[in-house]
Amino acid sequence: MQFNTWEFFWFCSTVLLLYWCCYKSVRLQNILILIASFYFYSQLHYSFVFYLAGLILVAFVSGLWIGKINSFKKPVLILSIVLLSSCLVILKYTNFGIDIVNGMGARFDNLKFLVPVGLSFYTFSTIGYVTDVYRKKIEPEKDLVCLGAYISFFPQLLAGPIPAATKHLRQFKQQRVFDPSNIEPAVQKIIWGLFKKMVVADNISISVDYCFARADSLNSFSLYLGIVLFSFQIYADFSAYSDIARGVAKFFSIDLFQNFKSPFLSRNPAEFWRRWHTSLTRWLTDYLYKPLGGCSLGKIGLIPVILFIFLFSGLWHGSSINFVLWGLLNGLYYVIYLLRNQIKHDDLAPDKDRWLPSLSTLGKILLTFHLITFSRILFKAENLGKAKEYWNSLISNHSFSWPPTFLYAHIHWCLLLLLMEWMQRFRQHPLDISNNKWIRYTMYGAFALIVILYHKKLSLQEYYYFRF
Amino acid sequence: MLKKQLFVFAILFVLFSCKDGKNKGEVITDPVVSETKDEQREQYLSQYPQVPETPAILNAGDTGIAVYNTCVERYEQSLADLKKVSDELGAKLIVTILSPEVGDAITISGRKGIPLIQSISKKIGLDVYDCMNPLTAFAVQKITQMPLDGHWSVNGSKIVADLYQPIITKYSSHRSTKTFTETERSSVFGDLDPNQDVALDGGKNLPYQLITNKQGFRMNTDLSFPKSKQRILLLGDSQLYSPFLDNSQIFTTLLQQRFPDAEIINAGVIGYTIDDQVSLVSERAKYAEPDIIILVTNPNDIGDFYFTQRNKMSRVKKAYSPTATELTLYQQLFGSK
Repeated sequence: MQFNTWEFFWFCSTVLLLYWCCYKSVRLQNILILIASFYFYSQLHYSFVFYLAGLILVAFVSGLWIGKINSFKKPVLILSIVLLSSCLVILKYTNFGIDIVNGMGARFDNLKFLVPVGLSFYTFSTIGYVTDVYRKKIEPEKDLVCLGAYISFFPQLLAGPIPAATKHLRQFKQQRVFDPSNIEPAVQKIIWGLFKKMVVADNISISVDYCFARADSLNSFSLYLGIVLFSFQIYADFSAYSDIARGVAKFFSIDLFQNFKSPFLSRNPAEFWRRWHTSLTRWLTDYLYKPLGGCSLGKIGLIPVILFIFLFSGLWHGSSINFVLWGLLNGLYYVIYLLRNQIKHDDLAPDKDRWLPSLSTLGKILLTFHLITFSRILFKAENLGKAKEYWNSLISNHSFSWPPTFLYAHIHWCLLLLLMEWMQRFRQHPLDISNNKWIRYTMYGAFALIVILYHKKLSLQEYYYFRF
Repeated sequence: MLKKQLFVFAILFVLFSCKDGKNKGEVITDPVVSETKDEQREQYLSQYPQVPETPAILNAGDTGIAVYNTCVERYEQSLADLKKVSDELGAKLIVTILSPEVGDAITISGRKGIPLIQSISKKIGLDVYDCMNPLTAFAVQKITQMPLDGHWSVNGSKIVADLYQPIITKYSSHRSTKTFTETERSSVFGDLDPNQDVALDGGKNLPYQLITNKQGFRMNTDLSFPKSKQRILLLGDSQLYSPFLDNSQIFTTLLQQRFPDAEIINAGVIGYTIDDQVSLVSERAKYAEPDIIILVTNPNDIGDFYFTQRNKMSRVKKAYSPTATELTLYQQLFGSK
């Protein structure tokens, strides 16, 4: 049941109706969220709900246990994290381990697993929760239903944003009342999300696949277009899911993380990672970077930590050598900028008083975009051989032929997306164009119309990040 | 103020830059010519939604054989109709039997269908060529995209081009007599959306490039009039259309390179059978003024005449009523409904 289907619309409408019918009871609302989320998840495969239920139970018991004891807290925390991550490690990384062992001469068959969609996301969410209890940032949750609703909340279940217990858990304990002022931001996010998913990402996805399938025969320019389009595809696809999740959650009067903050306007890789998948960046910062020493380590001491975190992030995305290298390459970018003192913790949108970016800003934005984009060859290619093939053709196949029309047929949607984000870089949302509500409504209508007229028909593309 | 103007510009930019307004999706799966809805057909579609494979029909005992025989009669009638249309155009109709289901992969449908198509064609007075027999020398995995898909691979496409080359050479001197004036001719002759250059993957993660010319055929060049070269129109289903291969890789493009003094026209559409070809040529493809018409038929085309398949896939969206035996077979294969 994907967000951009009528099936989801009717499911969500029914749940919302029931949800606001029992607005007087927080517990009833949480029970409803829990049932709806488990039903939503079971539609993908019935077995997935057992993993979800198991992790919720382990997190619940661990939280209570850690909250209750005064000694041996750390061993209990470690035991909890091992238990919580065991499903993810076994299901996602066993075959990677087998491949490595086979690479050294052994002969083991790969095992067949059905990896639950979203497992990486809610595993991190549960680990974050027990760690926060251990750090006494939050009280252990005594209501299993409340914790279950928080972890399984269906809009964020499959591809995040990864919630933070310190920030989001309390919303599930509070009285939630229907607030009409939530409707506009919710609709705004959903329309923008649908535009990014159905018009931008879906329309270019097969063109990108085509470039990777024909890397041996296409020329450099076509392959360059292919990887640039992939950058837009993955951004539009993933951020669309987050936007729609936030919009749907808003209807439940629940706020989720803003997962993307116009990452293509970043002026260096560090800024990019503060703007891209921010909920994962926050998780890595809180539960890896800081425990490993963080800023106190100094520049040189920080290098192995940075590389380790990026390696970890790569492995979180996928269990293959491609993702390992992708993570390390991005870590390397970060380290180079760090050593050159070019990492500024200035996330204010660039060129505040200008309509167009200055040459210096434009240069930095373009360089960052291309560094990130070229690293994505590793992210998209099926295996290392294919990534090498793509890269080799990209730099060496200079034969001139005009690229196939479909490679640039939808590029105007990418430019529109970029234009809106640039224009709106000082506002809360790209569609929040004016203080005059009628102008805003016209904008929503225009983009809804674009979605209706120009969405890719006859093929429902799965969200790219479901695979992680 | 300037900011608002810029937004207005952005919206206008979007609306004008997308003036084609048409979403070029996978039209190939359902190239509907007429959108008129036949209520009876809609009723059949909802009442009898299942489409059996031809081997399932043939393995269904006496009822299956009786239904298959009915399909053979319909096939024969349609082939005769196609000959009639071709004769009216002065074009030479040639039947070629082609499917990658050869050797170990041959099904009961192929074993029964090949001799039947040969005898029907001869009975009608048509030249017929079994292109499947030479393919038995190759493993199915070599000529198709198996195990991902059963259509031609790049290698298979080259082999098929080799098989068709002598056939085309043999008829290189034949010319048709029929021509159409500018006012008589329609603008589109094929059933694909014209002027496409899109990437498709048919949901199988095997992306390929589809280019159609302005007349709606899967070919890279447009046809012009008056024609100056021999025109060879190929009619067929997905084996001719060749999904998952780029235009540059399909066997009709390879043939075009080998016959620069002819125009090889690929009118293949997924799911079509002979009566679709009859209506396609009668309504549209005749305006291409073909000299030779090569029917690329698959032994499964016979089973495609079963009423549920016709109601679902037929080019002309009309109702195909079932015979009593067809209904019995349906109940036998799919239960009461």
